[in-house]
Amino acid sequence: MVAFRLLPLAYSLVLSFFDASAFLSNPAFAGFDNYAGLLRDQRFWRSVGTTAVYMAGSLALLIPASLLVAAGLRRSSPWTRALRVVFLLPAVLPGTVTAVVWSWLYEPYFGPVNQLLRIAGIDGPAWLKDPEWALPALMVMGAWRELGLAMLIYLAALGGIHPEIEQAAAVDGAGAWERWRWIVLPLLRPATLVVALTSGLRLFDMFTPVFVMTGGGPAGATTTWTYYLYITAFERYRTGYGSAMAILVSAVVALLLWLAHRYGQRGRVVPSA
Amino acid sequence: MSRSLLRRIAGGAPAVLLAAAATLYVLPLVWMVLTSFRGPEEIFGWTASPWPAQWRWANYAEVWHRSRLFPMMVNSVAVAGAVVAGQVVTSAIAGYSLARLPGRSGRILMAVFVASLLVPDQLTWIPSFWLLEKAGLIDTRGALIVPFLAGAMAVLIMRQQFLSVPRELEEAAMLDGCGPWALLRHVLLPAVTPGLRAVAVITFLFSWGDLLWPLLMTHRAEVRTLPVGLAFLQDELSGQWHLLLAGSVIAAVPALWAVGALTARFAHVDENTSTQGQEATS
Amino acid sequence: MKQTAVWQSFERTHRRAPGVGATRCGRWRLLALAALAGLLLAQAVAPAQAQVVELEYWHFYSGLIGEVHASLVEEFNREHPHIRVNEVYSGSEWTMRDKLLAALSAGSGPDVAGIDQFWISQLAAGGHVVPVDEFIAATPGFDVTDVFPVYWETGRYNGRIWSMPFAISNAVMYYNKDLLAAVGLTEEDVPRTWDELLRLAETNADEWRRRGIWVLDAPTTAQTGVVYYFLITVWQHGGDMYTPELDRVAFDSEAGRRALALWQRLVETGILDLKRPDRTFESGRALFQLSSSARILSSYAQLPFEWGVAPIPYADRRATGIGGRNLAILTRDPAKQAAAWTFIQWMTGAETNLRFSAATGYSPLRQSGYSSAAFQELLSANPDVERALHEMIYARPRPNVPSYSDASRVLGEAVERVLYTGGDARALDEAAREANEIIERYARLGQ
Repeated sequence: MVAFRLLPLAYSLVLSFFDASAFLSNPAFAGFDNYAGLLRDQRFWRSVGTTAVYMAGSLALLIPASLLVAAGLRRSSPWTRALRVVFLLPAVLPGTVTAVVWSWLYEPYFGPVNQLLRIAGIDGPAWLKDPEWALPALMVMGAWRELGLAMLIYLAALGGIHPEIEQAAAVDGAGAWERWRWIVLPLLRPATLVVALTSGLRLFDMFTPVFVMTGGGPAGATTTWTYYLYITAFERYRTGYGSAMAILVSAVVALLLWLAHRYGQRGRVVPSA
Repeated sequence: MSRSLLRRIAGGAPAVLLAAAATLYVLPLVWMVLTSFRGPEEIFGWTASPWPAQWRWANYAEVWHRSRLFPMMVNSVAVAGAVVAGQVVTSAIAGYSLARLPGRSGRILMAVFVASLLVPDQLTWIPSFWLLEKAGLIDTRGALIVPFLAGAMAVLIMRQQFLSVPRELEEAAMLDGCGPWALLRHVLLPAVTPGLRAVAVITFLFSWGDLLWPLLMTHRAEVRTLPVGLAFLQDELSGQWHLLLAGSVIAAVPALWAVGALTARFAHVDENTSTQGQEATS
Repeated sequence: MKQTAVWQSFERTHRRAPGVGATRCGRWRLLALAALAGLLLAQAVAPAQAQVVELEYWHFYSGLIGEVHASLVEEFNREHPHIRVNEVYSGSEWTMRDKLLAALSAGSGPDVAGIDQFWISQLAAGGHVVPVDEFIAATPGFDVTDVFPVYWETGRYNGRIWSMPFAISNAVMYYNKDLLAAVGLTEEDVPRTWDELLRLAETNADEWRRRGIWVLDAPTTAQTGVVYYFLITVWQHGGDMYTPELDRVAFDSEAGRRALALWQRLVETGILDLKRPDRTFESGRALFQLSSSARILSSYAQLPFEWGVAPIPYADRRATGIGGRNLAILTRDPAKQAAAWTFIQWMTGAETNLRFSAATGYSPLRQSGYSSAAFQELLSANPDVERALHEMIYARPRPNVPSYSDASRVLGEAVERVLYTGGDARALDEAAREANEIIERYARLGQ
């Protein structure tokens, strides 16, 4: 594991200081040029922005939806257990399958989504082929995919809330909604953080859907930073630059996570990982 | 309308909503399966209903035959199985030691693991290729297994699990005369089975669905895995949705089955296992 | 007391090695290293002598062409018992390019590769391929002049021939006879120029689409290869990708602007619908398609409708692009190189090449092959092939310059952006600026 994670990290770190082109075998030392170039690279910043928007949008859909589902499936019965499995199904499909299915759903003329919209009298957009709708379309797919995992996390957290707390509140006269708002939801905050982190990281790294479905387009609308990295290294053969990009983004993410960890540590009773 | 009736309706509403939500949620999959049985002329019609006029099993036969999905599935299963076995074992060992490791060395090792989690896959492709090449593993199943025999995520999960097993437990067992192996078998492992199961499921899903790594590290059809085959199929069959969807169904089935089998028990365990592991010991 | 003692001894056992897991992990790592060492040792000591020279050959032929190709390789192996060529299908052109890149960066890779023509300059500049011109010169009876001169250009870089032309095609326009009839047109109405196409379809495109009939199927994104066809239209307007000195790009010229305006017009009038379904032509829904002539006798033979081939519509002058795949030798081992050349020579030899062309619709490499009785017979039986190959007199290869892949991608993305989000010729200027930087960068790297 050391070999396959940390050695490559070192290799890439070194490579990032060179201007290397994959097929050419004499990389030229470039010092910090690659990093400087990155800071000026509009496409790079655009891809970072696209990734951020994608993450935010997907999470905005994901968190409420998975919370509601988990809340509904809280009690264990044969019925809820079956439904839980149902909600887990999309999360376990291989990425390529999800990509193919949703490509078909979003097909502009013959896909089910637009066909149904047509029945309702709406002329649906071209979804994955429309620069404005491609990213939102992927967000829906992303949330759909991650919902199962998020639901599991919320279920575990809900299971950890001792029933006496809620019972006590009920005895005090709190209705179901109030119990939710003032007791359950605040107790779920750590779980929400976990969901945001795990699903967020998975969304951040998302590559397969873009690779299989949109090729980063149309017109760069769905170029996430991982896809841009792939293009830079494999399509434009700029491996040194690509390494710099990967290092830079990873460093920033590590920093953010560390900050979040430190911030979360303050005033927390529950020991964190 | 009486109050109790109203209350019953309100009580029943969430269930109905949930059922509706579940149906909507699963609709894409339903669509996938139904459409995979239709013919191209049907698919390109202007009707919204996906119901096949006739059930074209021929689609599946054609995809199966053209793309040789079965050997690829076998490869995927073999690779995923080996990776899961590897990670379950290594993560249990490493997780235990990390959980019991005192002070600084523990924190340093933890940092190492977390750091390796942050390394994006793309960074590792070219250097790993070089490494695997030197080891003579490129274009073999080994290239798909060896790098993944241990995983940071799995280790961290198991560490979390072991942390919740109180040391007093081990002490008590030692007092009872347990040797290290018995300790492992009768006390530790049972206490962390939810974690092991989680690791198994997560690792299986990751390995089963991995596309880029096998794409780059293997060439021959004999060692190709399912996602790669499916991606190749996409290129070849683009626009022929009936075949593409049939192929997707085939690729999805094993993953669905595996998870169905595992989560039947998993979902049950969920609410019993709160943050304390104490109940498991009695 | 006893409890503490037990606990202490327990701790001691575990502390002996810092962390049981670490030791075990250490043992695992040691085992792994030992295994690696063993493998490396085994490789070094393994008997290097094999009577049979094994060649690994990567390609991306699939479908019907793939089958023809595979049977040829099999035949070669049968007739040459001391050489064994292992042909490995490597996906689409993009996946093969990725794999090749990963492999070459790691210092490995195939011995022979069937590459997309324009990869050669990068490969050559990187020192990964061996030029074939020496092998050609050393082969008695190889008539260099018999091969169509322009085909040599597909493998020429810096004055030498680095790859052997193998499967040569060009870009043509296919048309769907059944659909033409459905909209009240005949083969005579097939447009010969872009203006004719516009006149024919611009007012009808929307109405036809409501009937499920699209007009033109052509790539519109960088990923799907729009730059190839865009470049062709630039040539047709009198421009080019690079200046003759190959030191700057030249597509930000008047010709480039007019080409871009043409494409925009095609999109605006609905002739080229950005939302059209995948494979619109192959599924029988498009009147016209810009594509490679290689499909005539292979994949398109099975299309369930009547179709024909016409030259690509032209603008000021006629031009089309040469495409296809060449064979290159990548191994450094002289014995393997000799075997590789034997293989390449056989695959591109007059007789085999003729059979290959006859089965696939790729152009024969040699003029003698083209004018041979056998091929002429094929041509009269397949007028579409003839029409396609006739266009070779107007065909031009893409520039063989290492910066081409990168620069052309920049251009492709600019065209895509303009088509999908609007814009004008300034996009070309920006792309040109970026492309020139790329050229400079390659110059600095010594190419």
